[in-house]
Amino acid sequence: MGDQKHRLHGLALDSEYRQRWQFYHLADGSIKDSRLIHWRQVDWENVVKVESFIRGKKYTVDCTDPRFQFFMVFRWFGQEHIDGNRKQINIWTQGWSDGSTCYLTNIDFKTGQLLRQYKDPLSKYEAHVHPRVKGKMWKNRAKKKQHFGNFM
Amino acid sequence: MAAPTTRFRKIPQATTVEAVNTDAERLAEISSQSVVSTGEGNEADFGTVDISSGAANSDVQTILWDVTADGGNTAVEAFMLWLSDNGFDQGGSVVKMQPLSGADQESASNTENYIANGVVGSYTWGDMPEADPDAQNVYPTDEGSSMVLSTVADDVIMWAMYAAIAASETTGTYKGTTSGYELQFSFKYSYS
Repeated sequence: MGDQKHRLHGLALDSEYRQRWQFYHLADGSIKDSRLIHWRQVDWENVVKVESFIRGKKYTVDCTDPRFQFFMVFRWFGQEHIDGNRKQINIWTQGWSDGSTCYLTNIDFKTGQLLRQYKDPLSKYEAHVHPRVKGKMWKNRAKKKQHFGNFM
Repeated sequence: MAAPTTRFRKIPQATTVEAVNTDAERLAEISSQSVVSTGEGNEADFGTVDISSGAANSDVQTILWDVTADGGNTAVEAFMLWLSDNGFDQGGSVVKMQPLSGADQESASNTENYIANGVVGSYTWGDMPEADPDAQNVYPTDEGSSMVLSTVADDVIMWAMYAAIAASETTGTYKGTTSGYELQFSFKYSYS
């Protein structure tokens, strides 16, 4: 039953998440914890800040840029070879999008080290757009953060 | 939420078109498939390339990648494959690749439909990148950028590849991290 419950909710409860989690700050001042709720179940249109914590390091992304539309969070996995050594690709990515371009930060999931900050077309990550914001565009969305009320 | 569990499979070149022309068939066990390892063991083997009479090509091999357990995630996206390390001394020695789809992709553009008993002349080839391509370069059969996860993925990633070896290439066994004879691939994808 435990496995079933875990699967249904998709929570970040594996042992590797003991030192790795995200906080989703909502416009009403509440904070959702990735260890208690799956990010796809968060009212994503009301998120005003995302914080990632990995092994004592904290990375924050907020919505102050006037182009801001919504946040992006996803991970990378794979394997690469550098200088004859096999290296696992295990990355936590956080950032935001203006609806066409994503502004992203890659963080090493194992160490918490900042790996890369970059921008990419949103079309590359359509499957990772939260369903509550997919296909929506807001006007002056970043400014509404000042009211900390309904972010819609 | 764990990373998805995935696998690489090599299928016989004699696999029929009909055996891989639906997503369900591609996901199911394909006759005489072999799961190839990402470390030392049963790697995808290009076989012996005889360059005693000049440049020569290996046999073509067909590889599939898919997700066998979603780890609590709902999507995988942005699939990238590259030749990350090789000990070739000649610039003309490269690995060629062609992304493939099943015959259920009737208007292939980013891919070509799988051909049974495929050989070098069967597909249009490009050089496999030798660095992270930073853009998707292999595809599910619908040529989309992502696959939906529901325990397993809703399709596979499939490609063909062969090694084109230049005439004066240093002879030996190219494999893994063997110094001077490295032959290693990298693969990455995003998920959430």
